[in-house]
Amino acid sequence: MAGYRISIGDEAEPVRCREGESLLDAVRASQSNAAIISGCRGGGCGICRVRILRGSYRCDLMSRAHLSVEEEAQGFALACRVRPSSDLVVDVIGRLTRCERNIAYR
Amino acid sequence: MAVSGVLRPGFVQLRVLDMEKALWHYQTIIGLKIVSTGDDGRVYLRAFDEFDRHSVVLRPSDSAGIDCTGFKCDGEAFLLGAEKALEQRGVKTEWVAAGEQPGMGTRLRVHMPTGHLLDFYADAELSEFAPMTRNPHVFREPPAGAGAIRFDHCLLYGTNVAGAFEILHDVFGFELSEHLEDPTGQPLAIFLTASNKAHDIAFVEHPEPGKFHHASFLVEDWAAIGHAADLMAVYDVPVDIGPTRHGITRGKTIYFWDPSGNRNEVFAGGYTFYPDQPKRSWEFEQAGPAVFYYEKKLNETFLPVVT
Repeated sequence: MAGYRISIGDEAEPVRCREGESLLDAVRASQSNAAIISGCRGGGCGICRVRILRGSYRCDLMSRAHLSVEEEAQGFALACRVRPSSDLVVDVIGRLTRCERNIAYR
Repeated sequence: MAVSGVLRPGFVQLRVLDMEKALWHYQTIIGLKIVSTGDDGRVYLRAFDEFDRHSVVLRPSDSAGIDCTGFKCDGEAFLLGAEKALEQRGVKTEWVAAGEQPGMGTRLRVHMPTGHLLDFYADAELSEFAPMTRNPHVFREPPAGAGAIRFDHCLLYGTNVAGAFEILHDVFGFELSEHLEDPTGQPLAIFLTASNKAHDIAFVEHPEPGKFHHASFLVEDWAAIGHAADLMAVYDVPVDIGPTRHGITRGKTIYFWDPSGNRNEVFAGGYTFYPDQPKRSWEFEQAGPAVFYYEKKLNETFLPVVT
């Protein structure tokens, strides 16, 4: 199968990401039980925050309000902007806060 | 003149990460046209049926969100009166110099308790491509994209919405047209009008100040909403929800995101507001149909995702 193998957390099935596809789009399109909470899909809202633990990738522009230069150097990224160029191991950081969740799921 | 003081929402200035992508979006999807580009990189755009020079300002930045939104007022006397009233209340204001945005007069900038900057101004240059007024055609040339008629309103997220209401109601004459309560019965979301539109600005109580939920653009009707939905499907624009209808305001809507993650809305309809009539309100338990009338429940992204 073409593309890169994306491992997300310890329990989820790996996801396949096509060349040029964003990490978030790959997860959204997959049948895997892996999940990244998505927001604006434009690098602006910060909801889909992840940390790339292993692998290579490039990133489109991301809002500095949600990601400092230091954090970016440490592998933090917004999944909607991540374009993998190898297999990746990813940790999901982004969460809706409890308050927002309660309102959102009423 | 029945509509006096604050006349209408006049402009919004948004921060964008990638100007080229932003300009494609605001022209091809929403249907705005570029008016001019400033030396500082800001790009000024307008919708086809607006008389004033520009209504959308995009500023290149490394973060998304809103810089400020402005309201056109009926004269300088109103601005001076507002400045005095705000000073008495201890609300911070400043004057933004004429020409800070090309074609705009001085703006009374109000630092709102929600963390937003609201500008009030009386002078704006007319567009050289303004709508015809003598034996007028419906447009000079067919609008592109969704065919946005004009910038309609913003929804802003921030702290102390009650404080924002007091300023806009007491000083600027806005009326509360409708609101959604939190579980304790306090206002969670307020919809304010300075005219007889269902809303000219709205606020949601939020722990972080100065956040931006969406900028809305008026389109003609359901058919225009449908055409906008087709464009978003063809061009793979990220859609939050819609086409659907709001319980609040009764507007027909699609929510979607620009390429920097700023949410936009195309909006049609909505009821006509008259200040003497009873006001509508929604209990927290009915937030679903209040926001998304057909789905009857909120989606995962609408409330928490802001820039």
